[in-house]
Amino acid sequence: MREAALMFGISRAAGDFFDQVIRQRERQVMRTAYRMLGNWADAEDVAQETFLRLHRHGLDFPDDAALGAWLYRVTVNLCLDRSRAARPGCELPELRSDEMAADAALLREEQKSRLMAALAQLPAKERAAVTLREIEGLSTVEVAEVLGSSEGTVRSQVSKAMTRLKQLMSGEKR
Amino acid sequence: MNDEELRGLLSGMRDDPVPADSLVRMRARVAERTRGRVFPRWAVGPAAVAACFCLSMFLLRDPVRVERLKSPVARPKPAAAARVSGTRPERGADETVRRARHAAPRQKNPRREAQVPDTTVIRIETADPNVVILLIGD
Repeated sequence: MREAALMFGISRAAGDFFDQVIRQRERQVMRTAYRMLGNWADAEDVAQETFLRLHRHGLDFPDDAALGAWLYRVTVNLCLDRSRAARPGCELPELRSDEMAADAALLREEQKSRLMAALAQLPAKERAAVTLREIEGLSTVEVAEVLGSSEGTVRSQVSKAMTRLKQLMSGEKR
Repeated sequence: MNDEELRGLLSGMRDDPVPADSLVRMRARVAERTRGRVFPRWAVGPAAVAACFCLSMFLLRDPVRVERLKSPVARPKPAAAARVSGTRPERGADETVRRARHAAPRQKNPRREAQVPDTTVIRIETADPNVVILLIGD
């Protein structure tokens, strides 16, 4: 009986710790999934699956950075799987006239939504590389580790993605 | 748009707020899936070992019970085993069986008893096989 109570206590403590980890990391996971997938509903699904995998894997990481890298890796892989299943078909929103977008904050919001639409048009791997490198602020080495590719490949992917984003944001079409 | 502007725009997205209702929904769904089990998966093994240990302790605690469990196992009787192997059975090997057979009281047939008359017959055979003397008395 005492063993059962002890085990239940350990289980509860582990559950509380897991909840803490979710609260610390949920924004990182949700944002990354959103940048990759372009909508919050899919991002929710990916975040849920990521944390369920974390629960199955356990919280045995040498440090916080290792946990972060693991979460990025799982999130990006799940997003890549989803991207393969369904190609995004969203169009870039049209720029509104200067009168309508006079407010700087409004202009910035509009630019962001155009950027999100532009990101959605990139190939999945390039999108992942630019999201992790430029939005999440990871180093090239870290991005290479998460994506399981070389640093050179990551640099090339980021460079290609940035060129394409500039073209899309300037309204150029290939 | 140049590189710097684009980088500024991208890095500005880092701190974009995440909808609170999305976070709450996601947390609730994760909790629902992970709290389904009272014990985590790693606890199943130790719990099973503990249960087996308790069961074995309970069974070994009472030797009479162990004997009772052993008794239904079919054991060849020494005589039968000897018959199979072709050797001569030991003296008294079937004693228990014989005793058991004789121990059961033989039932008398009441009808036969009624039919048999309560008379004495003495049969005297002579040197001549055709002549037999019968003495019948009540």
